[in-house]
Amino acid sequence: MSGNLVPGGRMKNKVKVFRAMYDLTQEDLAHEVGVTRQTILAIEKGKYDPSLELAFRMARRFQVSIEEIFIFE
Amino acid sequence: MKQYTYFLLLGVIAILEVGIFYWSVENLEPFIMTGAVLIGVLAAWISRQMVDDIVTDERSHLITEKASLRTLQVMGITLFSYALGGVVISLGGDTFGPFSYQIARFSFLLMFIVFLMIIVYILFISWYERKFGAGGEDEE
Repeated sequence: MSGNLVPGGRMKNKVKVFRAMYDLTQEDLAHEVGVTRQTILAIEKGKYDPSLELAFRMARRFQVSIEEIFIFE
Repeated sequence: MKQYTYFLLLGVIAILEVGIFYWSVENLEPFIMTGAVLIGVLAAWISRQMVDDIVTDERSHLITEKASLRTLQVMGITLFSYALGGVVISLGGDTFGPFSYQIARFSFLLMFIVFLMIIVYILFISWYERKFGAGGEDEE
């Protein structure tokens, strides 16, 4: 399962906001959801849409639903 | 193993490969060099499996896939056009001189490699279609 490399895509996200709420660094979050720090950075910048599995893992980490983190415009 | 140690190991393997290359050239041992490359790649792969840090993930796999596909396309077109040019030179043997026959041999070999590449590509496509596609009958 893989995501999508979409520079300037229509998917927005609040990963940075949730990360700040939980006081996590990109490295911490990357380690917890099993990806590299670069991937978290790419997601936050909107350059990469994560796979469904990774989106679920992130949502589970922040204890919210996927729609609260990822918004399709 | 830490990622840093892995890169250090890669450096050591690379230096060893260069050393073996020089030794093989000095002693005219092509099989030793070929074997050394295979063992080197295997050693690098095993070392990579032992890295504890997350080195690759879904995004890096996707990037690798895209880069591989583009490389295949560019190389395929380049080799094919070069091979066709070589065939044209070989057909005009009198004009281009005796070397044209060597060029012809090389061009035909190159074309064979390009066609082999296309066949392998098609085989992989059908393999992955079957693996990840929706095979079987459609439910009514």
